Amino acid sequence: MIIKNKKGDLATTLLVFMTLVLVGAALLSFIYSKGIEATIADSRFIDNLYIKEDQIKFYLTEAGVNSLAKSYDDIVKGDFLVSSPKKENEVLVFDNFNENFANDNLKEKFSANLKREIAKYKFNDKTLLEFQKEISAGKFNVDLKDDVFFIEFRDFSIKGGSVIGEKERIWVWGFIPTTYKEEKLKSLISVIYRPAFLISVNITENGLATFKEIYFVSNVCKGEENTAQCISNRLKVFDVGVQKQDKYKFVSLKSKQKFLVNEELKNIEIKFLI
Amino acid sequence: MINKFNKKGQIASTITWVVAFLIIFFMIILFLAFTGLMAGQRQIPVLSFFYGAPDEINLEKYTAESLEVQQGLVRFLNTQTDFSGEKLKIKHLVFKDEAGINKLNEEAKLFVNEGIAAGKYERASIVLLSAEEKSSCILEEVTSEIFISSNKKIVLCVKLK
Repeated sequence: MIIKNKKGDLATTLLVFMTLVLVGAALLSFIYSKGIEATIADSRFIDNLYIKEDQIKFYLTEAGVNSLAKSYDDIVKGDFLVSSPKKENEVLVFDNFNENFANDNLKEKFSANLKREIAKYKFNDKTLLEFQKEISAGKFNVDLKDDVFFIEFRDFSIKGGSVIGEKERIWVWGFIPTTYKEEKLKSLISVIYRPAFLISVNITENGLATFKEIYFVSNVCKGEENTAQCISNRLKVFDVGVQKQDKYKFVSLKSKQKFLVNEELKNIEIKFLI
Repeated sequence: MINKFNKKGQIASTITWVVAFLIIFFMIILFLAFTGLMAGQRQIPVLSFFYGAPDEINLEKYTAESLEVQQGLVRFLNTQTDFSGEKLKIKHLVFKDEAGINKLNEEAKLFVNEGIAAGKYERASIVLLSAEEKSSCILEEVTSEIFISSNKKIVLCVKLK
């Protein structure tokens, strides 16, 4: 029965195979075609994203400088400068120094203060609120190399969109020619921008000195007759005061520049005995 | 056996299939041509006919903020000024007393007038607002706002030339 129905089967098989070939060809045509291409030559199109990037950089830098001042102040006021502090009348005798200990403390305080500084802003912009959330969650890295703090903030997406086409459409209904409907049509282009933020906050350039330098200069100058002048010549960012106190010299370093600590402008003061 | 006696039916069936095949084949060719045509274009012709060219970008309407204006504001805030014998950045004047705010307003006026004199702005204004306040910039002005403390922000409204 099947052998005798050969012609009918041939047409069906041919149909199946040809359909397959054509659909395959159509798919290939799609795969190898270039697709939609549009060149946007004007950078203003993504200006809004760059504005957000700039704002984040500004707030990171601001928070970085304020965190540096607050952390520095915390370190010099607390027992974080040397691992086993020796004191005379509650004043630190600066006769030993462990750079790693001081730097680790400074770094730890810097990270905590950076979170606090960013969290204080009452943003209402969506991107800035997301940025604030990420920083509060600790999604950033802080590194201290020599006298520079590096704040690294990555994997943050700035989302933006622009309406690129807006046209009034008028539908004239065929049945009732006098009525029409107006619609504003919008085409939206969404852009996601992932910049990497690497902010550096230089201790020296911001009007302070590293603890290592202060220790080194103090040691060099403690034998000098005019210790204040000696320190002042080497640590130009401070106003220096030296007083004789028993077997020690009482050194007071007051930053020439004022810093924003807890929303108050003040000089940072370091007092110790050498 | 049945087919042997039903030859006409067999021919009819085959002819139906051949016609059907030709129709389907023709439709698929059309499909292929249409997809090939579309693949090289940036817009869907049918939609374009109704809605206009969707790949046209009108930039003027969509720039509500300006990078240049914002960078100008940041530069202004970081400028050093003399305040009662002290060297301070303008952004730090808000942490001073009322005299500091007055000095900030003075500096703001200078900045705005410089921008107008240089032909960058048609008009501009800088105001100090609390964090919750909304800026009073009008629609045609470019707005840039920067928080300078936890509860204060500086807003620059500019009508560009």
